[in-house]
Amino acid sequence: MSTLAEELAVGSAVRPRFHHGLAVGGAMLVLLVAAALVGPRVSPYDPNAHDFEQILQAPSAVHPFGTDNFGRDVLTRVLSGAAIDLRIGVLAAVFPFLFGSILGAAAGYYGQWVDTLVMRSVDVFTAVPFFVLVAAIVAFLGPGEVNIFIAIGVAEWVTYARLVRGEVLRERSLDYVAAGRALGFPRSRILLGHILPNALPPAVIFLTSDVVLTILTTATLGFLGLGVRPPTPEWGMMMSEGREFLSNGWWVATMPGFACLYTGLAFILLGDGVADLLRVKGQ
Amino acid sequence: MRIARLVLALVLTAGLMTLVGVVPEGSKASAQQAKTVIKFGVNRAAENLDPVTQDANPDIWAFTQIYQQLVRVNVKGDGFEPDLAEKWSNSADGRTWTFNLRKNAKFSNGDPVKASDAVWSLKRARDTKGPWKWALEAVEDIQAKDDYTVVISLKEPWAPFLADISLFSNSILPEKVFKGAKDEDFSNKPVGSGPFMLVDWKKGEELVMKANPHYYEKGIPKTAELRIRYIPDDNSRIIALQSGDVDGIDYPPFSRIEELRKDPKLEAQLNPSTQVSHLSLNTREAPLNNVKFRQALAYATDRAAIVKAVCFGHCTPATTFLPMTTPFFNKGSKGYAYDLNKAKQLLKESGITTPVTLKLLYRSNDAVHQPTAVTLKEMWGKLGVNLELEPLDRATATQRYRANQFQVYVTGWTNDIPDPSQLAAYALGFTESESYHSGYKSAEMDALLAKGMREINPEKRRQIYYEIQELALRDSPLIILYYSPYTIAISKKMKGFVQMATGPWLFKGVTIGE
Amino acid sequence: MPLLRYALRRIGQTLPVALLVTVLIFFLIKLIPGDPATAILGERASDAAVRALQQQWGLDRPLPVQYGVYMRNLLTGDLGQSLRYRTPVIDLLPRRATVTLFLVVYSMLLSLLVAVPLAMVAATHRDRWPDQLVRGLIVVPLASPVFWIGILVLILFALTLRWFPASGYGEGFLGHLWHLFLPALTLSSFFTAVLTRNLRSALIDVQTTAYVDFARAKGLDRRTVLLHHVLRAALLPIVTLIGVRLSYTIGGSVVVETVFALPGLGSWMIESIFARDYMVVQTLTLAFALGVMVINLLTDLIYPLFDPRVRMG
Repeated sequence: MSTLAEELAVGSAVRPRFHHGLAVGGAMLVLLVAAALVGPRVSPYDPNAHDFEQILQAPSAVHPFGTDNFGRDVLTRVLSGAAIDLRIGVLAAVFPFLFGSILGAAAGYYGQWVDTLVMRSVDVFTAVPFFVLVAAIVAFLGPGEVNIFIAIGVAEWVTYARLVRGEVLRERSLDYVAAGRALGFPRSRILLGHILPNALPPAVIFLTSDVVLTILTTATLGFLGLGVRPPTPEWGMMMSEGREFLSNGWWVATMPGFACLYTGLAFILLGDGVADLLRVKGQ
Repeated sequence: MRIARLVLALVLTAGLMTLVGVVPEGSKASAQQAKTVIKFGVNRAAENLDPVTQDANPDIWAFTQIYQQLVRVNVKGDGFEPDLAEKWSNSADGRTWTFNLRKNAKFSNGDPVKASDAVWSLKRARDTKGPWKWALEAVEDIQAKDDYTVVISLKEPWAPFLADISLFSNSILPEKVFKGAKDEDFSNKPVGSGPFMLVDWKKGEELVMKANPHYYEKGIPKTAELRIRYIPDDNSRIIALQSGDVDGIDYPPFSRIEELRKDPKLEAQLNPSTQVSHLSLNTREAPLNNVKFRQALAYATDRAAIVKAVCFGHCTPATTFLPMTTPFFNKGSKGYAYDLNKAKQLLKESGITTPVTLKLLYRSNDAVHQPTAVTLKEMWGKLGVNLELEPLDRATATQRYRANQFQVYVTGWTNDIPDPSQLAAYALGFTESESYHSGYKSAEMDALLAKGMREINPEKRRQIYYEIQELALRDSPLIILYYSPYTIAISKKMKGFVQMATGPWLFKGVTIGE
Repeated sequence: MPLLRYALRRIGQTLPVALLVTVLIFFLIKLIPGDPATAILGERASDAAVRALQQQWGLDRPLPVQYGVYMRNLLTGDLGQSLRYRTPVIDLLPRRATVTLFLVVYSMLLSLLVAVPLAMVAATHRDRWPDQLVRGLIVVPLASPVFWIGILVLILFALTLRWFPASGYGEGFLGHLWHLFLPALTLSSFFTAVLTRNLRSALIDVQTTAYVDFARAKGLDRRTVLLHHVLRAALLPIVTLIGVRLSYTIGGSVVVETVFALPGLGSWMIESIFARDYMVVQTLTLAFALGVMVINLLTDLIYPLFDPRVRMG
């Protein structure tokens, strides 16, 4: 049975002609990271400085992305937010990736009680709607970046566990594994050296799109009042707070939205490129 | 093969039905109903319609269409009008009040409203351990002298008594219907004597009310059906109004008022209210136990800037802790001006060294609390006070506040009665709420508060409350921010809509034109 | 009957899981500070009033005792009371469930309606401009928060064009279809994007198999081949996908239900967590856990119908 991970992983194009996905996506990301590092330093504005003379100004030469309802420069905030959102997106996706993959690999390879334990845990976590679980955990832990990481991590590791376990199960039944065992290779060596390199790619591919999903989840948490603490310039919060001003200040919510789209596109292209690179066996 | 065909067929059918659904029967029917139904969109759903146990505006404002009291507050919020009682008087010693009920009031089930119903309802209000028990604390006994006369004797002369008796929790219910009834029935099956009666209630979705056929005012309500619809998202609620789905909405954000005013089909209202926004300071621990530090914070607060950021100019910077429309509000009081230099001076005198960090607790996802918090952080930063913002969900924030686990808390107040005693006792008298949970305790203030409750002479009372307001400013356990109006937006077709200063809407005179 | 045995075995395995989930959620929600009495009575009510309400609702007893009471009631079929609305949960559940299920099924169908032609266009014009256009477009719902899409959809269709109502559930079947179109469209956007990508890739893969070459050799034209043979093979992963997405979508309906003021399960669940309406949270958690179990079971059973090579268990 395929999973959300597989559906997003499989969905990527697997034709050699798409090598440029890796280059374009990678370049976009490099550009983003550079902007995130350099932008706030270069900007003449403090992302949190209020200026009540400049409330909700439309984009102009002085404020290329306009100002928000406190008179803060939106471009500076979007650039400052880039670092925050990349950090949130990557960290909140990487930890469940590591944790889930390890557990999934162990479950798939060692089987028996390890498998039962891991899979029943997976069942418990999938029995609660993803977003409700995240919201409940954040409500419990309180607001803030770290707690959002924890909440998303707790809810998301199951996807990776299921995905990697499936791949490991598939690999395990292949001939080369039996051959290795016959030759006396230790199980751990087979797992680490041979099975994992073939089993992980779909998880890695999903990771690239998971980063975007994580940023979106954080945005939705902001919508419900469970997001990062203000006045942090996080894109999701900016979109959520800015939606009040769609009619008299559309740029406040839309600019971070474009930033999100850009980042999403970068990661999707990157993911497609990685899939292309790693996928050798036709499926 | 067949399965693929089946899927395709299903998909096409769904698509067809969607297109057909663009003009369903429902829309034609609603066009005809436009004149006989009022549709009103609200941002919070009613949960409990029992006057005695509820404690939220959406509940109150909904059941005031259904229930009446002996006496009611007037629209402006500064006096009283007859409701179920046609006239009333009190004895020379001020301890006995007599209410003469009108003879033609009837509940929606046809039963006449009798003094016995009033006695039973008020006794229930007084004896139930609900949030409004305080309103009848001064009452010694309630008697029905005859079928249409209610006599209430007080423990001592009580200045705010008329205000207390007009409180919505003292609504009159039919004893026959509710005596021995289950708790849930009080909420789910209200029966009142007001202009409307409840017909259907889809919880968390819509309240449907129809005209009370036995209501004594002829031709009232002017429109026979009222639907109160829950639309929590601000944007959606405004779009529902702009597209004609509803005839009026409550709480459009301040930022949208100008835009709604410009719309030729709509009318944006800023109704006078008894709302005041303020900060509660936990004076139990350092550095907030230092009065000079608190005064410094008060001077460092640029109320005009907050009004700009939060209310887009539609609020009034506050001076004293009482809402502007409260009787005995001191119009001459200057409050705290914005003076950063004076603030720094006081900070030095206080002995607190900067930078100092304070935690600001507030309810997240609140349209006004968040911008207030962000603005304060910026402002107090100039004084060297670093505010750490702590947005928590409503239930958690309330819990922390009630348990005194906060340093600074953003909150507000709405008067329920047109009298300063309710707020004064709550905000500055330790016994009720530990003074807004600030821990403020002053013997001088307690004495003034007690005097204020008992002084019958209005002029003398005025002086007492002026003193109370000044003392509150000097001791500064609260930092008062601004007075805000209620925001409402209605279609120009909706005529006769009234919102009372205490908050409730009046739909009985509303007509929806063409 | 192997089918029945398999189904029973699966149910036997997952029932304890469902129960464990209710325990976890029970304690998690109770441990969040605040309780329904405080939430309902708010800031101003006296401590005495709050305590009285807490006692009335049994909230002052130790947590394990409260859980015991909950389990005992559950076993007698009593799902508890919504403290917020002072109504039994079972009375409020049917309407809410109907709204969400209607919404979810509607959005799935819309996804299919949009994704299938999009994927076919993209796959048959691979790497040329229609393909690039489709792949560019689907990035938008993949990288935008749902509330965003919802608001834009609202502004365009409900406000500017006035084709659909802005909120509510409507009356009558056609009324529901009309009212739910925009929310279903919003909810379907993410799944449409994912499905399009997946389907496109599957279509491309299958296009080059010998299976198809053989059909083409028989003289069938390209479009017929695509429709009849390729689509059928590609439908297999879609079935399992729908099964998985269904559970994500129900949780994801929270935002759509809030933006469009729909009285559904998703928004009810979140509101109940905020209001600490414990019995509602418990009931919905249990219902959802059982629902996921049923959906997983059904998809696992349907899978072999499409592909007899796959064996169960």
